[in-house]
Amino acid sequence: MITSAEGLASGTRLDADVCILGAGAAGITLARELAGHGLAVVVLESGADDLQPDIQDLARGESVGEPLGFADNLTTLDAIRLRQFGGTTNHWAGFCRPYDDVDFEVRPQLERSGWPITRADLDPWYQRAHPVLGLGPYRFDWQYWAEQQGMGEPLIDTPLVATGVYQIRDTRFGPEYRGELDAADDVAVYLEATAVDLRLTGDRVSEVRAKTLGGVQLSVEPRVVVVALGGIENARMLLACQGDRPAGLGNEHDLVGRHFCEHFAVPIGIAEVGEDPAALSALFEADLGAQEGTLRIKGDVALTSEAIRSRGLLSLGCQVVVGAYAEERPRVISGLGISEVAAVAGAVGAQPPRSSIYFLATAEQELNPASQVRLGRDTDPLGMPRVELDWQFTDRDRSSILDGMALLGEELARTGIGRLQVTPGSLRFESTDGIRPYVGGLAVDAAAADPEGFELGLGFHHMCTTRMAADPTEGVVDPDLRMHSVDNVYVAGSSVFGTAGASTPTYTIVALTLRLADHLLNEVL
Amino acid sequence: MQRRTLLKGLGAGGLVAAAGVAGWKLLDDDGGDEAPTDPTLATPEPTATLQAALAAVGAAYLEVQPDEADPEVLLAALPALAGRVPDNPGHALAVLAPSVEADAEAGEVVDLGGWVLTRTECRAAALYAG
Repeated sequence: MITSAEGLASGTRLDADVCILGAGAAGITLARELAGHGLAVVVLESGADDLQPDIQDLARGESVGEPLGFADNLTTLDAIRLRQFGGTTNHWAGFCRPYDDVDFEVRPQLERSGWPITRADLDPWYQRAHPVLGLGPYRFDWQYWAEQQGMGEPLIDTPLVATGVYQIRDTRFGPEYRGELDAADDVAVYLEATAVDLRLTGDRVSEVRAKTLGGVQLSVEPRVVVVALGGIENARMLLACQGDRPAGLGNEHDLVGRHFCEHFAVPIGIAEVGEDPAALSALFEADLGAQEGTLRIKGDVALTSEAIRSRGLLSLGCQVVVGAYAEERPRVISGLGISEVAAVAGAVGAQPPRSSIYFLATAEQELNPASQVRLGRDTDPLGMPRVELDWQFTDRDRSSILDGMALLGEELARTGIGRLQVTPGSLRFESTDGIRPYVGGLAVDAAAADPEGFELGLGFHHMCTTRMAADPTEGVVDPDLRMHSVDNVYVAGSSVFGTAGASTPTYTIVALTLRLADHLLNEVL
Repeated sequence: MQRRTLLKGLGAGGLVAAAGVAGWKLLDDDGGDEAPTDPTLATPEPTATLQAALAAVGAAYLEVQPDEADPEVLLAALPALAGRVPDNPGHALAVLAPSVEADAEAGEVVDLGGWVLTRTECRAAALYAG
């Protein structure tokens, strides 16, 4: 059943075996998994089926740290998250790729790195995420998809840098699963019901309080609560529950909201390579012009786990835009030009240039306790403190991107494929071809490079604010995603990620949620 | 405006790795697609002759390594040339190809304005830069 809470009598009390807060990718996945098991499942979703401006305004907050985006194109907290049935999947791009082995490991150079589970632990649920997301087989290697789709040779494939793929399908969880949940007689989804408080009896949440903008107040008495409100809102919700724990729920060690991570999206390099532009386009631009809602396979060049371990780097992957070298070469404002470099490289044995390419990096942010989601001073119309985001960087955030790209450059040179220019802040975009950056419309002003201060764009992914850790002094939830200090509250979503990695998060959110569902069904309920 | 145009293009093409929202937001802001803003950009940068390329790369290398601005020093660092500068730079560079490969294997690279180049190719260019 799906209904608006605005139609309830104020003061309505509900009983639930499981009360799920939020109906985004995590909340909807969990509700679907719990349906049909004879449990009473209540889902409280702040939004409606369609985006409502007054509800969306509840997501408004203040950014007091690093800018959210490039200086000429800043965004806001209420623009990058959707309060709507289906959550932010209502406008996501659909990129899916698992986290790599190294993302789960302790990296000695990186404080607090490591998850309490491994990639192998999560593999069964990654596989189960595929039908949920409408993906193809559980394969992310270039070789498999090259055979399936005739994608041609990879750009590069060495022990340190590899060409893999993203599976892309922008499944909108709201429209996709609305009918199924509406028909479920053991799941009740209440739209326009914003959870505003969790009240404790002892170490258990005994009451979930919710409100609507129309003035309806309702409460749920749950056996289990799952907080699935998103990477920022999970922290906001827990911090705001101060009635029984003055510092907020689960915040005994001042960890809730800390270690906020984004993915950096950075225009970071150009290269000349000897490979055929048509083949590279088939590999890297398979999504261009494709119909939304279909499965697309798109290449991605990334540092391998071996490279990240051995060099002490943060994870990094690159999307690639391809141009034919003969027709599209970046303009030179200052510094060495691509054709000068190509001429010398060709004379010493590199392949003759056939393609010019542009790299857009997606890079991992280092865990940093100063990068933080907090409660602001203002309150929203439901009386909840608005969110305040203090996004902070470390020196390693930038230096690791540059070191990783330099490694890619070394590998391109070592293999004779071509030469790479790393362009921190020195790439200019002078034109597009209408649907993509146009390599011939790029220009490089090497004199303007700023290796220590180049802009770090956003991936619009919010992670690590309620990290999972075996030790309660290191994380908010345990490896089963149960809060360390509250017996019957679990957290789902990217806020539980141990580190940010460089893969897009929704696929991992769904996998972790499926794992949580199995845990609840098999060991808790 | 330039970066805004880029990101709109990315959003429209679904190219922003993580950024469904970027596409949504920016497309809302910007409206339709844009054609190249300057038709002259369709003409690519001219390709460089080898001599001009050697001069440019060599000069850039000597800027960051001024202590090597001496043919004797450069020749000593390029033993495959056996102490003499061939008249034909193409021949010299071909002779140095194995050394370039060895540099790359050893990670012996130089950052010239962001370009990741092997030290040997930079030295060879410097030899002909003058």
